[in-house]
Amino acid sequence: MTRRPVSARAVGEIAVAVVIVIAVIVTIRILRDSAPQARLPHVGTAAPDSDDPDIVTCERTLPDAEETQQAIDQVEPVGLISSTEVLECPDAFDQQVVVYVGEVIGDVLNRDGGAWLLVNDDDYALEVGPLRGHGDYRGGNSGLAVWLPAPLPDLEPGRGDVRGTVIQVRGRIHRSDAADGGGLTLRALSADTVSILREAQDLDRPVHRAQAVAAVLFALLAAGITLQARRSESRR
Amino acid sequence: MLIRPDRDDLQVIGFYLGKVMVGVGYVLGAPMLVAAVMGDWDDLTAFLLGAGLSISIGRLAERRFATTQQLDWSHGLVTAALSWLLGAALFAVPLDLSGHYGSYVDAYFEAMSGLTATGLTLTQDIDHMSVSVNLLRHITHFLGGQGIIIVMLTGLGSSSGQVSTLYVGEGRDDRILPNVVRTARFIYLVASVYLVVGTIALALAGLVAGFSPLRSVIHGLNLFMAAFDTGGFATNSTSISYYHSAAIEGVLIVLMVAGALSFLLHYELWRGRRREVLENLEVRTIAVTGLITTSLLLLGLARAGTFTDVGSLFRKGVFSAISAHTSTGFTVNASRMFVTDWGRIAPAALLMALALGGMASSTAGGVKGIRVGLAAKSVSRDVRRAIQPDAAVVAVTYTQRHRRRITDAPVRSAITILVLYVLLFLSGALVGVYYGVPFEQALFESTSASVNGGMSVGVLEPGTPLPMKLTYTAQMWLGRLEFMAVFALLGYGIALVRGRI
Repeated sequence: MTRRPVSARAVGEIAVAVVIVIAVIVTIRILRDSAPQARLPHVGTAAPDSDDPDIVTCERTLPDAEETQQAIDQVEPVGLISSTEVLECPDAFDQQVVVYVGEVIGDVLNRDGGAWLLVNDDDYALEVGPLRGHGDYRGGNSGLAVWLPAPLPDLEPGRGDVRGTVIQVRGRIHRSDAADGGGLTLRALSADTVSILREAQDLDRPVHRAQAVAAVLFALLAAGITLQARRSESRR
Repeated sequence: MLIRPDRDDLQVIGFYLGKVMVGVGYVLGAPMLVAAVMGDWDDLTAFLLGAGLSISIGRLAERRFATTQQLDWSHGLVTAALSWLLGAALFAVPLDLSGHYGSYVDAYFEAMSGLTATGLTLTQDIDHMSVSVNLLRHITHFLGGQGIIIVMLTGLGSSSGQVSTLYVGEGRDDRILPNVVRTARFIYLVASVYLVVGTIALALAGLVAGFSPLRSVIHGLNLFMAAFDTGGFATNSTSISYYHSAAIEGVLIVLMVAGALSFLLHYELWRGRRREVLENLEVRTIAVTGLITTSLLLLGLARAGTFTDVGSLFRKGVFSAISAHTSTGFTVNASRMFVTDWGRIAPAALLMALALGGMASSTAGGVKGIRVGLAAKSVSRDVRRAIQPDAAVVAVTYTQRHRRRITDAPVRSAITILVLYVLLFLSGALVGVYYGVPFEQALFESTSASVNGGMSVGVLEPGTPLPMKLTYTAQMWLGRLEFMAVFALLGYGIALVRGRI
């Protein structure tokens, strides 16, 4: 079989194709960056005002894991904490009574006379709201698993375009919660130690029209090329 | 002498790449439908744009490069390597438009991580991600786990002769049935049965855990795809600890193990040949390495005092060990706690389990049980030779579908791939160290990317330097294709420039 060398025209075609692909990617970036903002104003912090929260550090002396319940109960409350602090130094917070503020996320898992929640205290939860509403990138999420005993307040979890209820919980950190199979949890001391700081909010985002127009154009192009290809095949 | 590929070579590669791109476009129809039902209009238009783009480019390529020429080995390998690059690029379009990625590179990383069933993520604010975009992430696991090209081409009606070389190019080497299309159909059958049974089981466990019926189905479906395809994506930032459910963890263990078994073994079990499971070298190897790594992990956790009761130690420890050894990457604790609360032995045991991985021709990653088993058998043969008289004949055998005698060729091939993996782990770790990451953490992250494991100690995050992200992306690609297709692509590139006509 004779070998047919790659022609200059073919190389040119490949170069044009690469340029088109890069142009499409750039267009997509422009489209994404031009997404309309939510009508929700800057949501602001939901944390309680505190000039000098008593924040625990990793230098703190730990209560021994085998400490008696009585001794654990005598541990002084340590004030407002963040999930990042706890995850960076879980041992330091074990059995501490803390105050934690965050947004209820995903699902409220009602069972066994209470509910499990994921409560985030990252910037999306407490500062700027869900990412899609503003495009202000603040990294990943951070939160703690929280157990609330019944009766529960009226909670709407955050997901998609909903900014969930922001709650304040006073509870005890369990570095390895045997009742949860060893998970790191925050158990509210009682139903009375949970309060709602902000109700859930919907992100009222207008439809991204430029993206919709581009999508329809590409869909029509794809349909046109497919139909033409089918016609050519049937003619053959 | 290198022979420069000619126009016919490029034509046949372009033609099959076109088919794969069309397939990507059709796949985007599923999350598009979900977006329509949920009323996520911007996501719907993002999927429509991605689908329109994929189908347009794919159809144009099919037309421009139309050919009846058969794929030979080099075409198959090059097409496989390029398909994974292009597939990730196209899936990255709707992901990027979702607004959850800081750059197109991040979205590309996510798509590659999904397709290679790795599970590392650069998603920002995943806890506010829409159902349809999250579904797309998990669908990429399902496609990649089975093999993207096989799914696309057999789904679009290609013949066995056309796709057989691609099958090998995607890192599969066991042909279960006489031809590749029938093998691919068997793979779909296995995956579909597990899909239905696994999703129902997870949804029921979700209901018991306190989810609403609709949410339990959504979580069940996503969890299934991430578990059976040993991917490791999760719908939220806290992975499996989100569920607080021993039942869900139990079902996931079964699915992860099923995913890490080769489709050939599923076939043997399907036909009632249970003995194959007990005699198979790879199964035996994984049983031994699994036992060793799990014991080490439990020992390490006990020594570090991570858990305060035996029940928790076993529940979290065994789940984590299986998640690592099957290269799934689900976690039951925050990533940072591997560093801050697990001591030193337990993360090292996890790293070992991740590196070893599951069975060849399964959805799992890792260096694979068969290679470790063959290397161990070879060492045993050499030791026996050394202690026997010179005239003695030492024959070592193993069972892999049928009884085989150890020969030098498969051992050499296994050890070559093992060495390549080790080099890949180290080179990725060096990039991390260059950017100031402690060596142990850099090695963990690099290994996790290379073996498509997906566990993280928190090194990878959206703010990670771009060269590290690109390194991990390349590692996921190389690891999933097990080097050969990527080397063939590089060779093709060199031949295009320096080869002779």
